[in-house]
Amino acid sequence: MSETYIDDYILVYFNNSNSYLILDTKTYPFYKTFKLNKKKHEYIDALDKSYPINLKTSFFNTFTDLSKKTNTSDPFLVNNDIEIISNNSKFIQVFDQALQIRYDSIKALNTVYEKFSHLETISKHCDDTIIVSYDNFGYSLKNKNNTAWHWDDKNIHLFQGKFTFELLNCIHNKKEPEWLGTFHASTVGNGKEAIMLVGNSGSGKSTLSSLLMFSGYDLIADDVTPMLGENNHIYVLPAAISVKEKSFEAIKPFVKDFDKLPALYVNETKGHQKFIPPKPLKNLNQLDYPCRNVVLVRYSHKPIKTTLKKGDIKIILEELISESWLSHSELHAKSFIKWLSKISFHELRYHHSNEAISVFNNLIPLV
Amino acid sequence: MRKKNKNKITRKEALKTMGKYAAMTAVGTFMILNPNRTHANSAVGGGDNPIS
Repeated sequence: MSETYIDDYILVYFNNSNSYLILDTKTYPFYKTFKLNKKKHEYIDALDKSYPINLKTSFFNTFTDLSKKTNTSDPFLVNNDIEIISNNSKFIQVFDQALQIRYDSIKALNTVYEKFSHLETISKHCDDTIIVSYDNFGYSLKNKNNTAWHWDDKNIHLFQGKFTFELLNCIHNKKEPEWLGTFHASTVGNGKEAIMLVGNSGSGKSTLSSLLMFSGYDLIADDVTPMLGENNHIYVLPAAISVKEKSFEAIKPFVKDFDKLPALYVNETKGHQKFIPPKPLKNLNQLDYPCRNVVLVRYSHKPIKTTLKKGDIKIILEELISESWLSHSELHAKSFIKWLSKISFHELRYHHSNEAISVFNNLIPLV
Repeated sequence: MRKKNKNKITRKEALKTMGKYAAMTAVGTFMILNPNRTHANSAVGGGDNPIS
């Protein structure tokens, strides 16, 4: 277990269950006592007598559950080898890496390829290959090491997530154990450092990231933000930004032939979306950046005064941890907690995007 | 005879239902956060989606 103070809270990591616990100063004594007294009666006796017994027991049971080993293995991993007959290929060039994507059906390809089709090349050279497939049972993927996964139709977003992650490994020549996590966040940068945008679906983070890109920032990653364990840097993932229908008008002035871009239907809530390819990076030799600021984005549909205030760590960590993949490694967890303790957390509420961009100019000025 | 409260669920069931949850207690607050077990993208188009 690792723990640290962040603002007025204590963040504790439980390695067995790969869980994070956030306590305030009033609930922390329960955890501290639990840590020192593993026997229930000793724990109960050690706590202040003014606490009701059921409260003490409730905390004890919660901490015990978190301390137990839970199964955190990947449930979609296919243990036995699966054969994928894939005669068709697409080739993409990402920085100095050339990749082949083999597929057996257009459905499998379309599902993963739209965010990366801007990287397509006619060259047939490849350093690595990823194979994707679709049949009556669902989607499958085989990575460059011939490890295979399978998902049913309901888990299409996990198939897409795995493809993105395998592509990331190929681009940066890394393996899964080297990554600290892939955050559900968008990240922009000024060529020297990165700034992470978090927020739930519909909060406006992808739209704002696009507008920041058009105002001169590098788009480092959209939707999936990868962090390496070794240096806590954010690594570039040049996926196209998916912009929802309600943001089309805001983005349109910046994209040539915007109306000609295909619009894809997602679902009733999200409507149609278009994919905006990222602009070239300022420095193509720099593919990883430190990040010292995390911004919780809150777009308001009604005009409001733009405000940037100190973010509530509980809300931001909920976005950052529970919607992300984080490595089940104590070493990475310690590194993550250490990184969190150095981060400035902000909450941005805005309606006018030019004012929001000015806020970013103050946090990490364009250089 | 006491009526059985049908809405009452055990602590374990509550934990399972809520997954990540914030709890207010008489003394203060705490929250448990579990990261995803696998990589995920936000739902995007693809597959058989018609291009308009």
